[in-house]
Amino acid sequence: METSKILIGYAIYLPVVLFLTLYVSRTLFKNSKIYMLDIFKGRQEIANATNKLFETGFYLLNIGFALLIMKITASLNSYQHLVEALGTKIGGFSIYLGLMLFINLYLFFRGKRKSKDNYNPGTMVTPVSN
Amino acid sequence: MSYNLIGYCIFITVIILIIVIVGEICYRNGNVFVGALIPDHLDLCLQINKTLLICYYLVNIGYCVMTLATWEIINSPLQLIEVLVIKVGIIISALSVLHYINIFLLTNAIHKLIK
Repeated sequence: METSKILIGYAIYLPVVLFLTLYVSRTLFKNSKIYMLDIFKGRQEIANATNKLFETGFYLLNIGFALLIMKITASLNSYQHLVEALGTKIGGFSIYLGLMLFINLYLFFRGKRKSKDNYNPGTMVTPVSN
Repeated sequence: MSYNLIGYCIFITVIILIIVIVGEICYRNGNVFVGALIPDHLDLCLQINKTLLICYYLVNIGYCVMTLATWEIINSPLQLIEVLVIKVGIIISALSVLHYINIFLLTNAIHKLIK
């Protein structure tokens, strides 16, 4: 494809991807504070610190991946192929972002369950032989 | 001036900016965790954290500067953008992996302390 068309592609791809990442992680980590407070049993400062660290990790992971897959290679020189290539890239990145979102949610739920298990050690039943 | 030199300048600026910002965030939020590692010795823990920050800067910036030697020869602005973005992406991904390993270790340690 012609150089100027590929540059147009990059100029569309980068803002869209950065905006998507920003929006998703804002939404996720605004709502995750409640879970963190629950996991760390109301210890405000540890909960906030962990939340912030997870947010940074989320940004790094997703922006890094978005930059890694940026390169557009298309053989035919037309706007149709440019749009198709962009669609594939942005769609693939959205699916990846959704997967990451669910993995993060799973981590929160797992932490919640674990902290509940630790909180109530008395409910464990010893197995009876025989 | 060759495209490689322009690429090096942009790469080093962007990467040092990212590494310093991430390091600052981790340092500020990590004080809580590191402070809990040795109870009753808060100033010692803060010093440890500061040392960790310096080590982090040295390792990451050193690695980035080292990889400059392995860049291919760049012939056009388009190639410059592509190579630059892929290199920055590799560094950011490596940072994220290191960061998640750190969170995992710290949360495990802190759960044992809270119990």
